[in-house]
Amino acid sequence: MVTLSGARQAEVRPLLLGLTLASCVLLGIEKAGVGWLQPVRSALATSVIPVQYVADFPHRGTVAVVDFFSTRVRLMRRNTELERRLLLLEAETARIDALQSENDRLRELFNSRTRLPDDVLIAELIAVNTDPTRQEIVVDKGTADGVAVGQAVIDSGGVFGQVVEATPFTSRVLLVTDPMHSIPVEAVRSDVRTIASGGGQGPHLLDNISVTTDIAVGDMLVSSGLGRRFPFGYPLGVVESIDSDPAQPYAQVTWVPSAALDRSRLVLVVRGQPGGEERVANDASAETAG
Amino acid sequence: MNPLQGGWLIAVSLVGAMILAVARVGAGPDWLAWFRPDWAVAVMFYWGAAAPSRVGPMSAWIAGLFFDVLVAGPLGLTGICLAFATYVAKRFEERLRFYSWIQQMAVVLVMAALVQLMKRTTLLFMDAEWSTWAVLGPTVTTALVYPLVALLLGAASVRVRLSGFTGPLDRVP
Repeated sequence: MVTLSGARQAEVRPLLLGLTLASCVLLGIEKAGVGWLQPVRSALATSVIPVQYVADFPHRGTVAVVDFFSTRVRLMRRNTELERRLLLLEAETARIDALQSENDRLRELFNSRTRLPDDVLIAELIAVNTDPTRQEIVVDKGTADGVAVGQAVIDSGGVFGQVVEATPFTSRVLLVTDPMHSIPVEAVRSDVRTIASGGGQGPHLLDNISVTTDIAVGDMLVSSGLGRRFPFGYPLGVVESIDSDPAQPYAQVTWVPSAALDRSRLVLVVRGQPGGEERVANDASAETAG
Repeated sequence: MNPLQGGWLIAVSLVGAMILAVARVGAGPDWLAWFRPDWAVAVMFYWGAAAPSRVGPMSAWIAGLFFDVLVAGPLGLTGICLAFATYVAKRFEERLRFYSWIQQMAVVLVMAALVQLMKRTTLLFMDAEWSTWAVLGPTVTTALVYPLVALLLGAASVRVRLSGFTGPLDRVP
Protein backbone atom coordinates (compact mmCIF):
# COMPACT_ATOMS: atom_id res chain seq x y z
CA MET A 1 0.00 0.00 0.00
CA VAL A 2 1.23 3.46 -0.83
CA THR A 3 1.67 5.51 2.28
CA LEU A 4 1.65 9.22 2.40
CA SER A 5 4.87 10.26 4.04
CA GLY A 6 5.76 13.77 4.99
CA ALA A 7 8.17 13.83 2.07
CA ARG A 8 5.42 13.11 -0.48
CA GLN A 9 3.16 15.71 1.00
CA ALA A 10 6.00 18.18 0.74
CA GLU A 11 6.35 17.44 -2.96
CA VAL A 12 2.60 17.85 -3.60
CA ARG A 13 2.37 21.26 -1.96
CA PRO A 14 4.61 23.21 -4.41
CA LEU A 15 2.69 21.52 -7.24
CA LEU A 16 -0.63 22.72 -5.80
CA LEU A 17 0.82 26.19 -5.40
CA GLY A 18 2.07 26.16 -9.00
CA LEU A 19 -1.33 25.03 -10.29
CA THR A 20 -3.07 27.73 -8.26
CA LEU A 21 -0.78 30.29 -9.85
CA ALA A 22 -1.43 28.84 -13.31
CA SER A 23 -5.18 29.05 -12.67
CA CYS A 24 -4.86 32.62 -11.45
CA VAL A 25 -2.98 33.57 -14.63
CA LEU A 26 -5.66 31.92 -16.82
CA LEU A 27 -8.48 33.55 -14.84
CA GLY A 28 -6.71 36.90 -15.07
CA ILE A 29 -6.51 36.60 -18.85
CA GLU A 30 -10.21 35.65 -18.95
CA LYS A 31 -11.11 38.61 -16.76
CA ALA A 32 -9.11 40.98 -18.94
CA GLY A 33 -11.20 39.77 -21.89
CA VAL A 34 -8.35 40.00 -24.39
CA GLY A 35 -9.29 36.74 -26.12
CA TRP A 36 -5.83 35.14 -25.97
CA LEU A 37 -7.37 31.89 -24.74
CA GLN A 38 -9.93 31.69 -27.56
CA PRO A 39 -7.92 29.17 -29.68
CA VAL A 40 -7.38 26.88 -26.65
CA ARG A 41 -11.02 27.16 -25.65
CA SER A 42 -12.17 26.49 -29.20
CA ALA A 43 -9.99 23.37 -29.49
CA LEU A 44 -11.10 22.01 -26.11
CA ALA A 45 -14.75 22.83 -26.84
CA THR A 46 -14.57 20.83 -30.08
CA SER A 47 -13.38 17.80 -28.12
CA VAL A 48 -16.32 17.92 -25.70
CA ILE A 49 -19.00 18.08 -28.43
CA PRO A 50 -19.68 14.30 -28.19
CA VAL A 51 -20.31 14.71 -24.45
CA GLN A 52 -22.88 17.42 -25.17
CA TYR A 53 -24.67 15.19 -27.67
CA VAL A 54 -24.70 12.21 -25.30
CA ALA A 55 -25.96 14.38 -22.43
CA ASP A 56 -28.80 15.57 -24.65
CA PHE A 57 -29.67 12.01 -25.68
CA PRO A 58 -32.35 11.28 -23.03
CA HIS A 59 -34.23 14.36 -24.18
CA ARG A 60 -33.81 13.58 -27.89
CA GLY A 61 -34.67 9.93 -27.23
CA THR A 62 -37.95 10.81 -25.55
CA VAL A 63 -38.94 13.04 -28.45
CA ALA A 64 -37.99 10.33 -30.97
CA VAL A 65 -39.98 7.65 -29.12
CA VAL A 66 -43.05 9.90 -28.92
CA ASP A 67 -42.74 10.63 -32.66
CA PHE A 68 -42.37 6.95 -33.48
CA PHE A 69 -45.52 5.97 -31.64
CA SER A 70 -47.61 8.83 -33.00
CA THR A 71 -50.74 7.46 -34.58
CA ARG A 72 -51.63 8.15 -38.17
CA VAL A 73 -54.74 10.06 -37.11
CA ARG A 74 -52.70 12.27 -34.81
CA LEU A 75 -50.13 13.00 -37.53
CA MET A 76 -52.88 13.83 -40.01
CA ARG A 77 -54.54 16.15 -37.51
CA ARG A 78 -51.20 17.84 -36.89
CA ASN A 79 -50.61 18.15 -40.63
CA THR A 80 -54.00 19.80 -41.14
CA GLU A 81 -53.27 22.19 -38.29
CA LEU A 82 -49.87 23.07 -39.79
CA GLU A 83 -51.41 23.60 -43.24
CA ARG A 84 -53.96 25.94 -41.72
CA ARG A 85 -51.21 27.91 -39.99
CA LEU A 86 -49.15 28.00 -43.16
CA LEU A 87 -52.10 29.48 -45.06
CA LEU A 88 -52.60 32.18 -42.42
CA LEU A 89 -48.89 32.99 -42.38
CA GLU A 90 -48.72 33.15 -46.18
CA ALA A 91 -51.59 35.62 -46.21
CA GLU A 92 -49.79 37.62 -43.53
CA THR A 93 -46.52 37.51 -45.51
CA ALA A 94 -48.28 38.78 -48.62
CA ARG A 95 -49.59 41.73 -46.63
CA ILE A 96 -46.13 42.38 -45.16
CA ASP A 97 -44.58 42.22 -48.66
CA ALA A 98 -46.93 44.98 -49.77
CA LEU A 99 -46.05 47.06 -46.72
CA GLN A 100 -42.35 46.35 -47.31
CA SER A 101 -42.45 47.65 -50.86
CA GLU A 102 -44.38 50.69 -49.72
CA ASN A 103 -41.82 51.24 -46.98
CA ASP A 104 -38.98 50.89 -49.52
CA ARG A 105 -40.58 53.53 -51.75
CA LEU A 106 -40.96 55.89 -48.79
CA ARG A 107 -37.35 55.30 -47.83
CA GLU A 108 -36.31 56.18 -51.37
CA LEU A 109 -38.13 59.48 -50.95
CA PHE A 110 -36.03 60.13 -47.87
CA ASN A 111 -32.86 59.12 -49.76
CA SER A 112 -32.25 56.18 -47.41
CA ARG A 113 -31.07 52.87 -48.72
CA THR A 114 -33.54 50.02 -48.87
CA ARG A 115 -33.36 47.59 -45.98
CA LEU A 116 -32.37 44.11 -47.18
CA PRO A 117 -33.70 41.00 -45.48
CA ASP A 118 -31.34 39.35 -42.99
CA ASP A 119 -29.59 36.12 -43.90
CA VAL A 120 -30.63 33.52 -41.35
CA LEU A 121 -29.55 29.98 -40.52
CA ILE A 122 -31.62 27.38 -38.67
CA ALA A 123 -29.82 25.87 -35.66
CA GLU A 124 -30.90 23.24 -33.19
CA LEU A 125 -30.36 23.40 -29.45
CA ILE A 126 -28.09 20.63 -28.14
CA ALA A 127 -27.25 21.67 -24.59
CA VAL A 128 -28.34 24.01 -21.84
CA ASN A 129 -26.01 25.47 -19.23
CA THR A 130 -26.97 23.70 -16.03
CA ASP A 131 -25.73 26.45 -13.72
CA PRO A 132 -28.94 28.14 -12.52
CA THR A 133 -27.21 31.53 -12.34
CA ARG A 134 -26.43 31.44 -16.08
CA GLN A 135 -28.83 31.55 -19.02
CA GLU A 136 -26.91 29.97 -21.86
CA ILE A 137 -27.51 27.33 -24.50
CA VAL A 138 -25.37 25.49 -27.07
CA VAL A 139 -26.59 25.11 -30.66
CA ASP A 140 -25.41 22.70 -33.34
CA LYS A 141 -24.05 25.24 -35.87
CA GLY A 142 -20.55 26.68 -35.72
CA THR A 143 -17.95 28.64 -37.64
CA ALA A 144 -18.07 25.99 -40.39
CA ASP A 145 -21.63 27.16 -41.14
CA GLY A 146 -20.71 30.84 -40.98
CA VAL A 147 -21.66 31.50 -37.38
CA ALA A 148 -19.49 34.10 -35.65
CA VAL A 149 -19.31 35.66 -32.21
CA GLY A 150 -21.69 38.59 -31.85
CA GLN A 151 -24.40 37.36 -34.21
CA ALA A 152 -27.97 37.69 -33.02
CA VAL A 153 -30.14 34.64 -32.39
CA ILE A 154 -33.93 34.77 -32.73
CA ASP A 155 -36.82 32.33 -32.60
CA SER A 156 -40.38 32.56 -33.87
CA GLY A 157 -41.33 34.74 -30.89
CA GLY A 158 -38.52 37.27 -31.04
CA VAL A 159 -34.95 37.95 -29.90
CA PHE A 160 -33.43 34.91 -28.19
CA GLY A 161 -29.85 35.97 -27.45
CA GLN A 162 -26.46 36.37 -29.07
CA VAL A 163 -23.54 34.11 -29.97
CA VAL A 164 -20.75 34.49 -27.41
CA GLU A 165 -18.50 31.61 -28.42
CA ALA A 166 -18.18 29.73 -31.70
CA THR A 167 -16.32 26.48 -32.33
CA PRO A 168 -16.21 24.83 -35.77
CA PHE A 169 -19.36 22.77 -35.10
CA THR A 170 -21.19 24.32 -32.16
CA SER A 171 -21.77 27.74 -30.70
CA ARG A 172 -22.76 29.07 -27.35
CA VAL A 173 -25.64 31.52 -27.11
CA LEU A 174 -26.11 33.93 -24.21
CA LEU A 175 -29.85 34.43 -23.67
CA VAL A 176 -31.44 37.87 -23.32
CA THR A 177 -32.43 36.98 -19.74
CA ASP A 178 -28.85 36.37 -18.56
CA PRO A 179 -27.78 38.94 -15.95
CA MET A 180 -24.77 39.78 -18.12
CA HIS A 181 -26.91 40.53 -21.18
CA SER A 182 -28.27 43.91 -22.27
CA ILE A 183 -29.93 44.91 -25.50
CA PRO A 184 -30.87 48.37 -26.84
CA VAL A 185 -34.64 48.49 -27.46
CA GLU A 186 -37.41 50.89 -28.28
CA ALA A 187 -41.07 50.85 -27.31
CA VAL A 188 -43.23 50.52 -30.42
CA ARG A 189 -46.07 52.76 -29.15
CA SER A 190 -44.03 55.74 -27.95
CA ASP A 191 -40.63 55.24 -29.66
CA VAL A 192 -38.92 55.58 -26.26
CA ARG A 193 -35.41 54.18 -26.55
CA THR A 194 -33.82 52.36 -23.63
CA ILE A 195 -31.76 49.33 -22.69
CA ALA A 196 -33.32 46.04 -21.58
CA SER A 197 -31.17 44.02 -19.20
CA GLY A 198 -31.59 40.40 -18.23
CA GLY A 199 -32.27 39.63 -14.61
CA GLY A 200 -31.39 35.92 -14.42
CA GLN A 201 -34.01 34.15 -12.35
CA GLY A 202 -35.44 37.40 -11.04
CA PRO A 203 -37.33 40.16 -12.86
CA HIS A 204 -35.81 41.62 -16.03
CA LEU A 205 -35.51 45.41 -15.89
CA LEU A 206 -35.40 48.33 -18.31
CA ASP A 207 -32.46 50.58 -17.43
CA ASN A 208 -32.84 54.21 -16.32
CA ILE A 209 -36.49 54.90 -17.06
CA SER A 210 -37.38 58.22 -15.45
CA VAL A 211 -40.79 58.45 -13.78
CA THR A 212 -42.04 60.82 -16.48
CA THR A 213 -41.12 58.60 -19.45
CA ASP A 214 -44.02 57.63 -21.69
CA ILE A 215 -44.07 53.90 -21.14
CA ALA A 216 -47.05 51.72 -20.19
CA VAL A 217 -47.75 48.15 -19.18
CA GLY A 218 -48.18 46.01 -22.29
CA ASP A 219 -45.92 48.16 -24.51
CA MET A 220 -44.14 46.05 -27.10
CA LEU A 221 -40.33 46.36 -27.06
CA VAL A 222 -38.37 45.83 -30.28
CA SER A 223 -34.63 45.84 -30.86
CA SER A 224 -33.57 49.34 -31.87
CA GLY A 225 -30.42 48.27 -33.71
CA LEU A 226 -28.47 50.99 -31.93
CA GLY A 227 -25.82 48.64 -30.52
CA ARG A 228 -25.10 47.50 -34.12
CA ARG A 229 -25.24 43.94 -32.83
CA PHE A 230 -28.94 43.14 -33.07
CA PRO A 231 -30.79 43.90 -36.30
CA PHE A 232 -33.52 46.51 -36.08
CA GLY A 233 -37.12 45.63 -35.45
CA TYR A 234 -37.21 42.18 -33.88
CA PRO A 235 -39.59 41.92 -30.91
CA LEU A 236 -37.89 41.40 -27.55
CA GLY A 237 -40.82 41.31 -25.16
CA VAL A 238 -43.52 43.35 -23.49
CA VAL A 239 -43.52 45.65 -20.47
CA GLU A 240 -44.87 43.65 -17.57
CA SER A 241 -45.08 46.10 -14.68
CA ILE A 242 -44.14 49.66 -13.79
CA ASP A 243 -43.39 50.71 -10.24
CA SER A 244 -42.90 54.46 -10.22
CA ASP A 245 -42.28 56.01 -6.84
CA PRO A 246 -42.35 59.85 -7.11
CA ALA A 247 -39.58 60.01 -4.51
CA GLN A 248 -37.22 58.08 -6.78
CA PRO A 249 -35.66 59.50 -9.95
CA TYR A 250 -36.14 56.25 -11.86
CA ALA A 251 -39.08 53.90 -12.22
CA GLN A 252 -38.72 50.14 -11.84
CA VAL A 253 -39.93 48.77 -15.17
CA THR A 254 -39.93 45.01 -15.73
CA TRP A 255 -40.32 43.19 -19.04
CA VAL A 256 -41.00 39.61 -20.06
CA PRO A 257 -39.32 38.02 -23.10
CA SER A 258 -41.55 37.09 -26.03
CA ALA A 259 -39.22 34.36 -27.32
CA ALA A 260 -39.93 30.87 -25.94
CA LEU A 261 -36.56 30.78 -24.16
CA ASP A 262 -37.18 27.52 -22.30
CA ARG A 263 -39.17 25.73 -25.00
CA SER A 264 -37.73 26.49 -28.44
CA ARG A 265 -35.59 23.70 -29.87
CA LEU A 266 -35.04 25.40 -33.20
CA VAL A 267 -33.63 28.90 -33.37
CA LEU A 268 -32.45 31.20 -36.17
CA VAL A 269 -28.94 32.64 -36.22
CA VAL A 270 -28.96 35.98 -38.03
CA ARG A 271 -25.75 35.53 -40.02
CA GLY A 272 -24.83 38.26 -42.39
CA GLN A 273 -26.50 41.61 -42.23
CA PRO A 274 -26.45 42.81 -45.81
CA GLY A 275 -27.78 46.18 -44.67
CA GLY A 276 -24.96 46.73 -42.19
CA GLU A 277 -23.74 50.05 -43.58
CA GLU A 278 -27.28 51.22 -44.08
CA ARG A 279 -28.04 50.57 -40.45
CA VAL A 280 -25.15 52.75 -39.34
CA ALA A 281 -26.56 55.58 -41.42
CA ASN A 282 -30.01 54.80 -40.06
CA ASP A 283 -28.67 54.88 -36.48
CA ALA A 284 -27.12 58.26 -37.07
CA SER A 285 -30.36 59.67 -38.43
CA ALA A 286 -32.27 58.06 -35.57
CA GLU A 287 -30.00 59.73 -33.06
CA THR A 288 -30.34 63.14 -34.60
CA ALA A 289 -34.10 62.62 -34.74
CA GLY A 290 -34.23 61.57 -31.06
CA MET B 1 -2.53 -7.87 -21.66
CA ASN B 2 -3.64 -4.64 -20.04
CA PRO B 3 -1.47 -1.90 -21.54
CA LEU B 4 -3.16 1.00 -19.79
CA GLN B 5 -3.35 -1.00 -16.55
CA GLY B 6 -6.98 -0.02 -16.22
CA GLY B 7 -6.29 3.68 -16.66
CA TRP B 8 -9.13 3.92 -19.15
CA LEU B 9 -11.52 3.41 -16.24
CA ILE B 10 -10.40 6.75 -14.80
CA ALA B 11 -10.96 8.43 -18.18
CA VAL B 12 -14.38 6.79 -18.57
CA SER B 13 -15.42 7.87 -15.07
CA LEU B 14 -14.45 11.45 -15.91
CA VAL B 15 -16.44 11.39 -19.15
CA GLY B 16 -19.36 10.01 -17.12
CA ALA B 17 -18.99 12.90 -14.67
CA MET B 18 -18.97 15.33 -17.61
CA ILE B 19 -22.17 13.86 -19.02
CA LEU B 20 -23.88 14.02 -15.63
CA ALA B 21 -22.66 17.59 -15.21
CA VAL B 22 -24.55 18.79 -18.29
CA ALA B 23 -27.34 16.18 -18.70
CA ARG B 24 -30.72 17.83 -18.99
CA VAL B 25 -33.44 16.90 -16.58
CA GLY B 26 -36.61 17.30 -18.62
CA ALA B 27 -39.15 17.05 -15.82
CA GLY B 28 -39.03 18.41 -12.30
CA PRO B 29 -39.28 21.84 -10.74
CA ASP B 30 -36.76 24.59 -11.55
CA TRP B 31 -35.21 24.71 -8.08
CA LEU B 32 -33.89 21.19 -8.63
CA ALA B 33 -31.12 22.77 -10.73
CA TRP B 34 -29.57 24.22 -7.55
CA PHE B 35 -29.03 20.71 -6.21
CA ARG B 36 -27.03 19.16 -9.03
CA PRO B 37 -24.10 17.33 -7.38
CA ASP B 38 -20.59 18.37 -8.37
CA TRP B 39 -19.84 14.99 -9.96
CA ALA B 40 -16.34 15.99 -11.03
CA VAL B 41 -15.32 16.74 -7.45
CA ALA B 42 -16.83 13.49 -6.12
CA VAL B 43 -15.09 11.38 -8.80
CA MET B 44 -11.74 13.17 -8.52
CA PHE B 45 -11.78 12.99 -4.72
CA TYR B 46 -12.39 9.25 -4.92
CA TRP B 47 -9.52 8.67 -7.37
CA GLY B 48 -7.22 10.92 -5.37
CA ALA B 49 -7.79 8.71 -2.33
CA ALA B 50 -8.16 5.29 -3.96
CA ALA B 51 -5.51 5.52 -6.68
CA PRO B 52 -3.12 8.24 -5.48
CA SER B 53 -0.30 7.04 -7.72
CA ARG B 54 -2.51 7.42 -10.83
CA VAL B 55 -4.39 10.64 -10.11
CA GLY B 56 -2.84 13.75 -8.63
CA PRO B 57 -3.38 17.49 -8.66
CA MET B 58 -1.71 17.83 -12.07
CA SER B 59 -4.00 15.40 -13.91
CA ALA B 60 -6.99 16.81 -12.02
CA TRP B 61 -6.08 20.31 -13.15
CA ILE B 62 -5.85 19.26 -16.80
CA ALA B 63 -9.19 17.41 -16.56
CA GLY B 64 -10.63 20.60 -15.08
CA LEU B 65 -9.93 22.48 -18.33
CA PHE B 66 -12.35 20.18 -20.17
CA PHE B 67 -15.03 20.75 -17.53
CA ASP B 68 -14.51 24.50 -17.88
CA VAL B 69 -15.19 24.57 -21.60
CA LEU B 70 -18.09 22.14 -21.15
CA VAL B 71 -19.95 24.40 -18.73
CA ALA B 72 -18.57 27.59 -20.34
CA GLY B 73 -16.90 28.66 -17.13
CA PRO B 74 -13.67 30.66 -17.01
CA LEU B 75 -10.67 28.46 -17.93
CA GLY B 76 -8.68 27.25 -14.93
CA LEU B 77 -11.47 27.46 -12.36
CA THR B 78 -12.59 23.82 -12.23
CA GLY B 79 -8.94 22.83 -12.58
CA ILE B 80 -7.92 24.38 -9.30
CA CYS B 81 -11.07 23.04 -7.58
CA LEU B 82 -10.30 19.47 -8.71
CA ALA B 83 -6.60 19.82 -7.85
CA PHE B 84 -7.66 20.90 -4.36
CA ALA B 85 -10.04 17.92 -4.10
CA THR B 86 -7.26 15.45 -4.96
CA TYR B 87 -4.92 17.22 -2.55
CA VAL B 88 -7.42 16.81 0.31
CA ALA B 89 -7.95 13.19 -0.74
CA LYS B 90 -4.20 12.55 -0.59
CA ARG B 91 -3.99 14.15 2.85
CA PHE B 92 -6.84 12.02 4.18
CA GLU B 93 -5.97 8.90 2.19
CA GLU B 94 -4.85 6.80 5.15
CA ARG B 95 -7.45 8.09 7.57
CA LEU B 96 -10.27 7.54 5.07
CA ARG B 97 -9.53 3.81 5.20
CA PHE B 98 -10.54 3.70 8.86
CA TYR B 99 -13.51 6.00 8.48
CA SER B 100 -17.10 4.80 8.30
CA TRP B 101 -19.25 5.98 5.38
CA ILE B 102 -20.72 8.74 7.54
CA GLN B 103 -17.24 10.03 8.46
CA GLN B 104 -16.11 9.87 4.82
CA MET B 105 -19.20 11.82 3.79
CA ALA B 106 -18.40 14.41 6.45
CA VAL B 107 -14.92 14.88 4.94
CA VAL B 108 -16.46 15.18 1.46
CA LEU B 109 -19.04 17.66 2.79
CA VAL B 110 -16.39 20.00 4.18
CA MET B 111 -14.18 19.59 1.10
CA ALA B 112 -17.12 20.20 -1.27
CA ALA B 113 -18.18 23.27 0.73
CA LEU B 114 -14.68 24.74 0.41
CA VAL B 115 -14.62 23.95 -3.31
CA GLN B 116 -18.03 25.56 -3.94
CA LEU B 117 -17.10 28.63 -1.89
CA MET B 118 -13.85 28.94 -3.85
CA LYS B 119 -15.75 28.54 -7.12
CA ARG B 120 -18.51 31.05 -6.34
CA THR B 121 -16.10 33.61 -4.89
CA THR B 122 -13.96 33.43 -8.03
CA LEU B 123 -17.08 33.74 -10.21
CA LEU B 124 -18.05 36.81 -8.19
CA PHE B 125 -14.76 38.39 -9.27
CA MET B 126 -15.59 37.37 -12.84
CA ASP B 127 -18.80 39.47 -12.64
CA ALA B 128 -21.27 36.63 -12.11
CA GLU B 129 -24.01 36.97 -9.55
CA TRP B 130 -23.68 35.54 -6.04
CA SER B 131 -26.03 32.81 -4.95
CA THR B 132 -25.97 31.08 -1.58
CA TRP B 133 -28.04 28.18 -2.87
CA ALA B 134 -25.42 27.52 -5.54
CA VAL B 135 -22.95 26.91 -2.71
CA LEU B 136 -25.19 24.95 -0.35
CA GLY B 137 -27.09 22.80 -2.87
CA PRO B 138 -24.16 21.10 -4.65
CA THR B 139 -22.24 20.77 -1.35
CA VAL B 140 -24.95 18.67 0.30
CA THR B 141 -25.78 16.58 -2.77
CA THR B 142 -22.10 15.91 -3.54
CA ALA B 143 -21.65 14.46 -0.04
CA LEU B 144 -24.83 12.42 -0.47
CA VAL B 145 -23.82 10.87 -3.82
CA TYR B 146 -20.23 10.22 -2.74
CA PRO B 147 -20.86 6.71 -1.28
CA LEU B 148 -22.59 5.73 -4.53
CA VAL B 149 -19.65 7.02 -6.61
CA ALA B 150 -17.16 5.28 -4.30
CA LEU B 151 -18.99 1.93 -4.36
CA LEU B 152 -19.40 2.00 -8.14
CA LEU B 153 -15.83 3.04 -8.97
CA GLY B 154 -14.41 0.70 -6.29
CA ALA B 155 -16.22 -2.30 -7.73
CA ALA B 156 -15.22 -1.35 -11.29
CA SER B 157 -11.56 -0.89 -10.29
CA VAL B 158 -11.41 -4.38 -8.81
CA ARG B 159 -13.02 -5.80 -11.95
CA VAL B 160 -10.63 -4.16 -14.43
CA ARG B 161 -7.62 -4.65 -12.10
CA LEU B 162 -6.67 -0.99 -12.06
CA SER B 163 -3.02 -0.78 -11.15
CA GLY B 164 -2.22 1.61 -8.34
CA PHE B 165 -5.67 1.03 -6.88
CA THR B 166 -5.36 0.77 -3.13
CA GLY B 167 -8.66 -0.94 -2.44
CA PRO B 168 -12.24 0.09 -1.79
CA LEU B 169 -12.26 2.62 0.98
CA ASP B 170 -14.91 0.89 3.04
CA ARG B 171 -12.59 -2.02 3.83
CA VAL B 172 -10.20 -1.66 6.74
CA PRO B 173 -6.83 -3.13 5.69
